[in-house]
Amino acid sequence: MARNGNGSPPYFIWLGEHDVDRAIAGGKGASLARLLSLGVPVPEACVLTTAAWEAFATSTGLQSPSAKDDPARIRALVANAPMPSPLVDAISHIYQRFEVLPGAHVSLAVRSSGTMEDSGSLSFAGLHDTILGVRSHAGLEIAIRQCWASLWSDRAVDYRRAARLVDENPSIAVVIQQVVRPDVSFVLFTVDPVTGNPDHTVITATWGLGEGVVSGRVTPDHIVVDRDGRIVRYVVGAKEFMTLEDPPPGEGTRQVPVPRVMQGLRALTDDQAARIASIGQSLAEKLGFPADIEGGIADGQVWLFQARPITTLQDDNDVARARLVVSSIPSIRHEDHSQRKQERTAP
Amino acid sequence: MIVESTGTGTAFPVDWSSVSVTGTLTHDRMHFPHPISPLGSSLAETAFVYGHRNASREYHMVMEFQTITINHYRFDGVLPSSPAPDIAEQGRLAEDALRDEIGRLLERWHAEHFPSIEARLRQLRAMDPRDLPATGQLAMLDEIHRIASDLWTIYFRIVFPMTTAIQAFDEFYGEVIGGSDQDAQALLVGTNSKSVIAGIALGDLAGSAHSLGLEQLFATTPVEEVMSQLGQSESGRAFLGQLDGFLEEYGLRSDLFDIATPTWQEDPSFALATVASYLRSGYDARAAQMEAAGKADAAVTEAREQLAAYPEAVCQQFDMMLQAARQAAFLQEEHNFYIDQQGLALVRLVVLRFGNDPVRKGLLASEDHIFMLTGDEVRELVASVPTPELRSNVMDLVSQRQREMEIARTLEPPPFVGQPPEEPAGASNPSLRGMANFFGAPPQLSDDPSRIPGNPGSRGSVTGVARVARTLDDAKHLRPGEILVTTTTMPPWTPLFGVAAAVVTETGGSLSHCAIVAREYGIPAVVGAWGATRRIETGQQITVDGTKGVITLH
Repeated sequence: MARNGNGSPPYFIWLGEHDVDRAIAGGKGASLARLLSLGVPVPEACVLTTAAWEAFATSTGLQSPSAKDDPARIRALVANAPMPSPLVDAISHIYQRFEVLPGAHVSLAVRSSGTMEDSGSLSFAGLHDTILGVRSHAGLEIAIRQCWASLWSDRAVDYRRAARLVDENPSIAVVIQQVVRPDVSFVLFTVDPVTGNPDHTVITATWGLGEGVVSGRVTPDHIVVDRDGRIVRYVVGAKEFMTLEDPPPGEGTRQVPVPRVMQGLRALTDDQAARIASIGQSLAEKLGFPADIEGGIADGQVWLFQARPITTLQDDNDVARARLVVSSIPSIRHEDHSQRKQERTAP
Repeated sequence: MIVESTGTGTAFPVDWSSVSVTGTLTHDRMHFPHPISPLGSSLAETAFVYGHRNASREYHMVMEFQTITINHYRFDGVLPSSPAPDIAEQGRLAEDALRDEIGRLLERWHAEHFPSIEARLRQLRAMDPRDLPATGQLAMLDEIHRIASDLWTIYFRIVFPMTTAIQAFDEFYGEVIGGSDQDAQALLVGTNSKSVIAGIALGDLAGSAHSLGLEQLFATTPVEEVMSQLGQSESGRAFLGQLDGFLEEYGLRSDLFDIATPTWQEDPSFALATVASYLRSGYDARAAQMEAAGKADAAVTEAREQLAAYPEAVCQQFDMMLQAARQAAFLQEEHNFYIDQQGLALVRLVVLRFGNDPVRKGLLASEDHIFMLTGDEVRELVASVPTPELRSNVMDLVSQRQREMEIARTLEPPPFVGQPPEEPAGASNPSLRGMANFFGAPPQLSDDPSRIPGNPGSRGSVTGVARVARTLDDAKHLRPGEILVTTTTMPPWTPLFGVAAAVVTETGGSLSHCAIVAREYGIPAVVGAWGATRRIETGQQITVDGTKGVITLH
């Protein structure tokens, strides 16, 4: 933990064994810390805290109330104002640590982590930014500024107005995480979401990054595993498209068709399906609720990216459990894209 | 029946449409550009059809091979089997069967196909009907027929999955990496197949001629006289010893799919002409093979780099399909060497021995006249007691057939008989699509008199002097750096690719033998260029663009 002197919160925190307060790590940062503390296999991650944002905001004079009235001006300031030197040092430090991690190259997911999102009654889902495939020091700084600016997107400002949160002082943290490039992405339900059968773990899986399997735009493989790890059913889906990372120097992702000859093949072996089901079951036990889990397999290793209660099983009492939503990266959500598109096209 | 034959025969040629045909039968110009002998036809009509039927059933392929001979030209086609089975279900079974098979092409070749081919070739080598009574000779004819049928069954067992493997790889490559079939094919060269090795052996023979100081002799002696000239000197005789070794190993091949054509062992003039070409051009077959293999390796490395961002499963699938396609590219030449070439050559040599008895009895003027009879007629001849009447009937029949063959050579057979071919629909599986790429797109016509469109065969563009050769015998005159223009090329032609600047054929597609070997030799090729041998003249300047598949006349 990098202390910021005088006992004030640090600018950045490497996530590990301990839970971290939502007030300094934001909703996503806090839930990611929780996932890690539960011993879930999650890729290496760091949070640039709300203290970092506040130091930046102070140095650029963004705390004055009048500034809040013109989101566009604030966004321009956030994009262009000089970075205070302690923050420059912090960003360098973070980037360098990712650089020495094992792996072919640095590829980071940078995500805004608002202090009010995922706070139970308010979802803020998709309001803030995720930038995938960040591969340079300069790119990291740009991505951080973009996440900060997302706090002042027209939609976010409208949302706060509608929710009568205008008087509160919004703050934001940024989660920076090693991107794992899954060979196979999956979504797993620790109970059957349709029948409610608690003995059946249901997995949907497809090739490539997770967008395909969470967006509903491809027909993934559908696997049912019982408590003993036996495959009850394996229905091969066509898996029409897969999402891939752009090759360097590109920093985005692209969708490519799955070769015809592979559309009829299984994305998971029986052993892999059983292993994933068992990891999911043990996480659900620790969380204390049936979970909807996103994850992937990279170089044979299983990683989990996000876990939350299964919404179709929720009753009113379960809403409170949303607090326990734990999330990681990358889970490129379909709605992220569609909403950002709306934002761009909004008058 | 020969015995009842009047000797006058029926009118020749018959009207192409006078033969009743179910469906569409096309003239296979790629394999049979010239008239085929009656005995060659009989063999095709029995062994080839039998093999196709056997193997296609094994792979659940729903089709029936049909072949007929009209005016000594072969027409064939495949029809759906009747009664019509559940096509969709059979299609799935066929795809599964072929998919299983392409994963173990080489394994099955080594464990099963090659040993059975070798055993049958050994049997053929050992056969000699000359001292057998008629019953023994008839039994031997049955045995030859059985062996030929087995060989063609093995042939199709290899050809169906082989074509599927190459086509499936081309399609996979196109889907994940993009580019043309030819980009995909660039990864499949350098497979060290028998065709390439035979070319290298011929190169070594040229190397021997060089070190024996025979370059002058080869450069100044007409090819017909080279043999006798070589016999006159010690170094020449040393070379002839090596030539015998080469022919023993690689000489069981002939120009075409017709057992009436002499093998290189019987007539080594083409091998000698190629040695002369290699000497003139300084072509180094070994270096060329190394270079081709190096290029393929580089293309594979580049493709793997392009796949770096893909999931592991895609990379594994790519490697698996590449391996299958490389095995298939290897087997394409390998099976051809042992079945098409050695198998047919050995059948020819045994059948020639069946001509020995009739010649002694005065029924045939020459052993090779036996090829002018059909299979049934040969059996009848073997079983008959020689009488003056039989003698005159057989002699008449042979000369009638010889006259017909002469006339047939001047005929231009129609592209098909029967119902007009349907528009080529997108074939439903990689095997059928592969077959389509083997035989090539239907002929294209161009309004521009200076352009002949064809199918891209091998990349690159070259401008040079054309050498039009309709037969391997014509092709002997090819000079280094000339562009070979021909109807079709069979594997025995391939050593010429070492000295030709480019090659043009009137038949075939990107998976045809000619295209594959041209890529192997790294020379541009346009295949399936309809009318090329008529529209181009020897000596004419032409540009061959193998990337686009177009020939420009200057």
